[in-house]
This record gives sequence, structure tokens and C-alpha cells, in this order.
Amino acid sequence: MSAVVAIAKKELLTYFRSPIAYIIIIVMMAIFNIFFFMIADDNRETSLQEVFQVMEFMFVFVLPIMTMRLLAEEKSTGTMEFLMTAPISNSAIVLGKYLGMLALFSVLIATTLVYYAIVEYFGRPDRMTLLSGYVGIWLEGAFFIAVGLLASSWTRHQIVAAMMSYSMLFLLYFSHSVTPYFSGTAKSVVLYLSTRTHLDHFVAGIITAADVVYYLSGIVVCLILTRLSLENRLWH
Amino acid sequence: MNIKYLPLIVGLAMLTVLLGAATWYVTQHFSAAVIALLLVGGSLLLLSAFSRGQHSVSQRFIPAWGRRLVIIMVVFGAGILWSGTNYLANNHSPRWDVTAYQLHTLSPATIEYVSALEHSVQLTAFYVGQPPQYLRDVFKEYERISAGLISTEIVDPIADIGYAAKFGNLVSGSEHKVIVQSEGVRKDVDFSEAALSEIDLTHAIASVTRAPTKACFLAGHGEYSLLNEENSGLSIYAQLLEANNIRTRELMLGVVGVVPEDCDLVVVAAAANDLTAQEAAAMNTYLDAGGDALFFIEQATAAGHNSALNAILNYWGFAIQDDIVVDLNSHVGGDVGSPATKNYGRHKAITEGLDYTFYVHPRSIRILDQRRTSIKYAPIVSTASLANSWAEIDRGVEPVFDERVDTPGPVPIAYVMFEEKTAGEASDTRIIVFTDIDFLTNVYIQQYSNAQMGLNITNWLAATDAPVYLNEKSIQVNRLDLTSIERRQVLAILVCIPLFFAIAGVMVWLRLRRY
Repeated sequence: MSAVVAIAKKELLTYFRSPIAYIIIIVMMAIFNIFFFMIADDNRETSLQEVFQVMEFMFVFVLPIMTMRLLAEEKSTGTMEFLMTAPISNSAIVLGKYLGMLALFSVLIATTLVYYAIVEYFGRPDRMTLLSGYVGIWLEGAFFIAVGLLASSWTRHQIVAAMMSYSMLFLLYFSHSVTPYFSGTAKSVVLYLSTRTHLDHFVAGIITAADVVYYLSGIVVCLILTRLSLENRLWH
Repeated sequence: MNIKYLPLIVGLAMLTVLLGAATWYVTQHFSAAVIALLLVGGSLLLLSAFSRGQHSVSQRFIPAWGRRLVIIMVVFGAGILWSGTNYLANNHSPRWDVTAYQLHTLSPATIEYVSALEHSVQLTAFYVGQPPQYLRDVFKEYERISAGLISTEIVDPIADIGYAAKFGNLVSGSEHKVIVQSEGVRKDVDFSEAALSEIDLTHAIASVTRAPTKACFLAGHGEYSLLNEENSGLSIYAQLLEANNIRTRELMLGVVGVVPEDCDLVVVAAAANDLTAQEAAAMNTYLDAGGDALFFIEQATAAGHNSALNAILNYWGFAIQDDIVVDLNSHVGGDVGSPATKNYGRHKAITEGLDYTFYVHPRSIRILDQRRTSIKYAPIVSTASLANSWAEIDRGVEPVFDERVDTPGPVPIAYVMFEEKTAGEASDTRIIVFTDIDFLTNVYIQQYSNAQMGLNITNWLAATDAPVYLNEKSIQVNRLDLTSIERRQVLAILVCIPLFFAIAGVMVWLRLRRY
């Protein structure tokens, strides 16, 4: 466990000792802030439902860029061999890398709590619905990071990792849009696979076991497959 | 895990998965057994794959076939695990509505009614500008519960003036309306003054999907009035019936001579004055022919005061006693003569799910020994207490139970009667008798389950299934109306936060650059 924490800590410090974390946070905050102001000005409600939907859309594009270097960089620079031969398990490497990026993502989400502070100060928001929305967007980001980590484990090229990550996330995110071309069980399956279906429930204030299981099982499966990829050097 | 058991475990895993797949193929259904087999198989595959991987790494030798086998097993096992857990979660998923106003939780009465719809219903909301979130959420929930029979749309009548024109004159910016349509029937629900309520929407859906029934209220004998909006009136009761598609009208039996055919039910709302012999005969003729009636008897107009009315009740086996029902344990307003009770007879359509109801100075009812054997009776409301309630004969003094003359509790306050007719005869006769009507007056109807009781008995007599009475659920739109100063404050906060991170980043960069 200490190895996991050490790797996660090292990852997180790497981000904050370089411009990466600051640039990501500043750019994302700037975009989110613009949308928050526009939506609040237009709707005049304390609901953050549409803000969460914008955040989800942005994460589809941003998280692959954030996660592409996680393992691919180690391989391209040759430090992967050191990491693999160190007395730490492959599971610890995977978990450490994952938790490091998740911590950065959590900081990013935490900065958006200012929206809650604003609607709380100037209005009377439905707190539980907002909390449910935050849980949903955090789980979705955690899932996207797991997908990005998996893609990063398949190649030594960061751009290729990002492209593979985009492919998977686009399929998951936009599958919602192709449901009119399906019917019956196939339609239900496609709808279920879509991340939008699940986040919509959270941001509307509905929490279902199916939505939680969708994200958690997705994260677990991605981490298992990442470990498999590391163990079998699938990038070779 | 010992490596020598690995082939056995892999074999077992494959067999389990195969068995699960075969069971699914045969039954064409993902039963719990199928899911369990697939999950066990998947888990075993994953376990053996990791065990194989660890063992090979420790020996620094991984043959190509072994690696491929491990990869296939892990991918296969993970896929099965993911599918199985998600299938189980999706099919047995608890659901929590955490919103403050329970926006995604319709009442059981609405769910029961909407999920049993047989015809499609279109809900068209007209809302100028950005529709509030709650409206979209409520519409989504109706769509979900109706399994596709309810379709919804929100139209901005200013932006889409051509489409709005098809529904009439709806271009006012302040007018908010939902038009409910089904099978060519339309009902408008206005929510310009307050948020759209589930009560209004469900009642509107009920009114366009049900054939209306008619309740005729006997008039001309000093009955409680449907039009009276004062405390002693029945105007709220009348509105409730209208909302449930039960039309009400007055019946001047002395003028028309017979109960009209379009009356599905006759209500005698505590007639203060005597019915004429002709009116009593007309009532009995109607009831003999399979008509249905609801009798409310008030203290001042009961036995001994209204002979014709009592004669009708006696004919059908009821005797209203000249007493007053008291309950020392369960009553309202400190008046032992106003018993509150949940002691109901079992009747799915009338008493199921009811909370307390209370009655003001009711009398007891006795079933006459001399009655037709074809008639079935059941008390539907009795006093709550066994030992401390009774029907008091001597109403002039402090109530004290006298076992020689008083009727011990629990005392029946209301009875239901049912006479089944043989095939070829008229329809069955249904009668309900309550020895109080105050519980349905404007001042009391919205307390406890009084309204629900009033609606249930009327619905049952009018043979309308699925009554829809909903408790008021107020929804407030959580507004964020910012003044110009507040807007500037928000803008300043939103600009400052990214700048704060920019400054922090520059400081860290400068500090690291120095070293």
C-alpha cells in the first residue's frame, strides 16, 4: 500500500512542480466559469444540472490529454523498465498512477465548488441534488481516467494513447446519439453503455445502484486490463 | 495457488461459463442462476489468469501460448464480470430520489394510475423562455412511469408561434400552461401562478383518459350544498370529484319524479327535511333496479326526524340509532363525541392505505334482523377503542357507559351494503351509509384521510376504479435572480479564481527555477 501511495504522491507532485497542473486547472476553470455564468444568467436557477453536462462534455476531450502520458511516457523514455524491475507489484504501479491522476482530477473538481458557494450565497439551492451531481461527475471522471490509463498502457506513443482514449470515450459518450437507429434490447444496451445516461441521473438528483455499478465496474475492469497489459508487455 | 490445480480451475471456470451460456440459450432469459454461473466462471477465470501470471513471472518464463491464454482468460473473465454485475444492478436497482421536493418520485396513486394507462397521452407545456428544470424533470418521470404511453414536449409559444397557434391563443409571455390530450379529449392545466403540481397534472390525465361518471346530489330537503364555499359547504368535495372525472349535478326528485338514467350514483347529503312518499318510492325503485346510493345522516336529521329517509334505510336493512358515538381514547379537538379512527373494515377500493379519519357526532348503525338474505353488509368504519368507546343513549350528561342501554365499542359508524343480482337482472345495488357528513365539509375535508375516504366511497359507488387523490406537494423553483451588483460580484469571483492558480503556478515555477 505504501508503494501505491508513494507512486501516487510522486505523480501528483510531478504535476504541481511543473506547469501542467496549473495550465490544466486554469484553462478548465476559465471554460467552466464562462459556461457557469452564461447558464446561470440565462436560466436564473440555482440548479447546476447544465453546468455538470458541460463539464462532462469537456472531460471527454481533456482527460485523454491528461492521461496519455501516464504509462506511455515511462515507456518512451525507458523508465518503465526501471519501474518494472523495482520491488513493487504491477498492481501497485497501476493503482499509484491511477490515484495520482485521480487526485489531480479531484483538485480540479474541488475548484468548481465555488459554483456551489455562489448559488448557496445568492439563492437557496437543493443541496442534495448538487451533491449528487458532484458525486456523478467525480465518478465519471474517475472512469474516464481509468479508460485513459488503459489506453496509455497499450502504446509507447502518447498521441496514439490519446487517440485510442478518444475513440473509447467518444463511443461511450456519443452512443446516446445513435439510439434512434436501434430498437428493443439493442437500444436499451446502447443507452445503458452511454455515460450520459448515467450522469443525467446523478445531476437530476437520482442515485441508482445501476449507475454506481456502471462507473465502479468500468473502473475496476479498466484497471484489471491495464495490469494485464503491463504484465504481458502488450506495447511490445 | 498451487500451479498443479491451475488446469483444473481453468477447466471448471470454462465449464461454468459454458453451463451459464447454455442455460441462457435454452431459457432465453438472464435468470439469477445464469448470472451466478457466469459471475462464478468469470471470477475463476480472472483468478486463474492472475495466478498463472504471477507464477510465470516468478519463474521468469512466459511461453507465448501461455501469455495468450492469460490475456484471453482475463479479457473474457473481466468482460463476463462487467456484464454480469451491470445486468444484475440494472435489473434489481434500488433508486433514491435525493431532490428536496421529491421531483422524481410520483405518488403511489399516480404511479398506479399512469402505469395502467391504455391509451397514449400527449403533454404539451407552453412556457416562454427557458423552461424550469423541475418541469423537465416532472415530465421525464411521467414518461418513465408510463412506459412510453405519455409523451411530452415543451414549447416556447413566442419562438414557435405557428405550432402554438394550433392549440389556440397562447402567446402571452406570462401564461404557463400544460395541454393534456388523449383520444381527441383535451384538458388545460394552468400553472402561471404557481409551479405545476402533480395533483393537477395527474387529475388532468385522469380526466382525459376516463369516461366521466355522474353523481346526482339530492336537493330540495335542506341538504348540504355543493356550491356552498363556507366551512359547512361541500364545494371542495365537489372539486375533488370533478378532478376525478365524476361530474356532479343536483337532483330535484320531487320535480322529475324518477332518478334520471344518466345518474350513476345518487348522494343524499344529510337531508334535513322529510322526503315525500313519492320521492322515497322513486329512490327505492331506482335502488331495486340496481342503482347505487350514498347516504349521509346528520345528528339532527337522523332517526325519528325523517321518516321517509329512515323508511328507505330500513327497507335496505339499516337502522340508524338515536344515540351519539363517543370515544374517550381517540377523538379530535377534545370532543369525545368526535371519534378519530383507523379501525376500518377490509375493502381494497375503500379503506386500503387510509390514515385516520374522524367524524363529528356520528350515530351508530344497527343491521336489522328482518332483511333480505341476498344482501351483504360490512362495517367499513368503526370506533378505534374497544373498551373506551360506545354509543351513548343519554346525550344530555357527561358520557358514562351504561351496559344496560349503551352499545359497547367498537361501534360501527359507516356500513357498506351490496346486493348481487343474478344474471339477466339489473346491475348490482351498492349502498354506503355514513352517520356523519361533517368530515367532508370544507372545514374538515383536508384533514387526515377524510378527503381520500370521501373520494374512495364515491368512486366505488360510481364503479370507477383507481381513484386518484394526491396530497398537496408544493414545489418551489429555486431562483437565482442576481442584481447588477451581485452579477459583478460573481464575475469578479469567477475571474479571480483562475488568476489565483496562475499566480500560484508562476510562484512555484520561479521557486523551482532558482534551484
